[in-house]
Amino acid sequence: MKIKIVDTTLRDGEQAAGLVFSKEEKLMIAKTLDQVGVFAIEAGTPAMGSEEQSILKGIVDANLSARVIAWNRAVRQDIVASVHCGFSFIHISVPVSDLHLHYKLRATREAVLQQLSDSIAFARSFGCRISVGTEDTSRADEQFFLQVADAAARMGAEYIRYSDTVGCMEPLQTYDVMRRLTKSCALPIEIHVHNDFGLATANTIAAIQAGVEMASVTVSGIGERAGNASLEQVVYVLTKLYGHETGIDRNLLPDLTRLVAQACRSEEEVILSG
Amino acid sequence: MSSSEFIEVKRKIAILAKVVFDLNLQALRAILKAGTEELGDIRVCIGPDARQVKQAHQLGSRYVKITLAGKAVEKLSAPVLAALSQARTVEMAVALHIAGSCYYSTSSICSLRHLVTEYGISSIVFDDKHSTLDPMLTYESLVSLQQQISCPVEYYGRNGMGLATGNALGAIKSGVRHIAVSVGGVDGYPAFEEVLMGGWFLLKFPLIVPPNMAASCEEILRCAGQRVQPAKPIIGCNIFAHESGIHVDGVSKKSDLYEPFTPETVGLSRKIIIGKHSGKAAIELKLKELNISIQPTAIMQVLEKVRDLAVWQKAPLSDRQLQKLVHEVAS
Repeated sequence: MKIKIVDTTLRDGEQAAGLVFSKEEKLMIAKTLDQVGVFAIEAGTPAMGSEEQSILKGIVDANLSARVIAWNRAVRQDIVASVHCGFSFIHISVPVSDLHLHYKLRATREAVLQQLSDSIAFARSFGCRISVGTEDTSRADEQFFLQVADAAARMGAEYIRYSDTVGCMEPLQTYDVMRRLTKSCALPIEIHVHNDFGLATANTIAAIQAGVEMASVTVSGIGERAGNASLEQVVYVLTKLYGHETGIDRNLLPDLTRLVAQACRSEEEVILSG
Repeated sequence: MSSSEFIEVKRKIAILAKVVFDLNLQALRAILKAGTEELGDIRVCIGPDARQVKQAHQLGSRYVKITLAGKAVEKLSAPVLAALSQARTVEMAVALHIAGSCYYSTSSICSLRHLVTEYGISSIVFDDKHSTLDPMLTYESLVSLQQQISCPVEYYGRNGMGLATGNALGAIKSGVRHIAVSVGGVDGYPAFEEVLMGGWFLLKFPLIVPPNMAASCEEILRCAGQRVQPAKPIIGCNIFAHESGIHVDGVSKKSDLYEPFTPETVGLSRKIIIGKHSGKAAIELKLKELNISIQPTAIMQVLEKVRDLAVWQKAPLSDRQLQKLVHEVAS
């Protein structure tokens, strides 16, 4: 089985509290991810501002073989910022759990579906290719996730991300949920999990064994709170335990790991150790 | 670690949860020499050797774990039977550890089941030392084994693939109630704190999470010469640090939006970091915390400066730096 690796080191990874990559580091990491052979690179969030946009333009202009994706909320201004950076792959994310809808967005499910459909149509009007992200999916109603996938598929999205935003799934449950969803979801699923209980790798591979063919990871598992699923570890398990193809050249991974570890050191640490 | 440090660490671990400590004969002798008297929570790990059973018994132990490896599993030899016989004679409880259990079919492990009744084996230890199983296979193997073995089954796995906690939870779900763990996952075992929290929070078992678990684990790991990584699940000092705009805005509205459990559960606290990914809500929250008032219209200007400075210095901002920026914008 061929598994597509979607790396989000430069987006969700950099969102680890206190972490900042420089422009040069982001470009270098993107190029190395490309050499390593990831399917897609989630490069960042253009809506963050002009500084980030100039960094992201640099990555888009590097003409990498991997898809280079911009992360967006389902709002026009985010998509405009991404299009201005030159992105042709647009990821549009909406929260789907009632908890998030009620306390964060203060919106109804219907409103979210509408907002997502409008945003996909808007992004597609620029000729962009779309993936959809669902946030806090592991605490959401499965039927609503499927409804979002239906709407996204109708609007022309290519795949959908299932996020275990607070890392509260356990592997056997992940396996059962994904067995069900891969059968009924209108779009291919990408699994995106967090490591709050030390289960990120286990949950990612459980999803894959249940039929999911795309995995969202970060180098060394860096990311918010306890981090994300680690690219190195997921690829290792997929290759060694199951013999799945990932397109990743594992010989190049140590260089990537070192590069990111170096970029994760803050100036203070550099000065202290310097 | 000296024997007295060892005893102190053991005492600290015993406060966290009801555990059995696996020790070899040498370690047992050392702690006895250092003054340990109570051996009720100690199990002595030995090979299939009647002399070792005798030694453990003479040292005051009443509980041994006998490891069978390689050919000893397929064909029970005289020394194995002699060791089991010796243990039965002196009325010691015996756990039978099948090294490399994952390589054997359930039926070949089950061929040992007559030992359970004949020698009164108290448990069989299922071993995936080489990390060859995933959580689903761990679950299936253990369900099948428990159906055929009349004594309790224990799970002994390692983290060679990064799946240790997942496999341990799979084992618990299969009905296993004894799991080999180590605090912080030291030496490649499933991490005690992850298995405990996973069992309690995710599998809903009525386990007790000790107060200040993060600090206790950190202290234990420090004794073992280990530093806790800031992002380490359950006990890392940064697992409740939030910087990105969406997350800070979320936790300020309702913390469970972006936290699976409260920081207090494990004795940690929430931190708001001001940096490149900060949003409007984070700045407002931090200024409130610092008792600084500012025109709502100036927040965006402050935010822009915050992001520029964080990128320029490649690090988050200190409170002082934020105060300085606010002052610049206000003047």
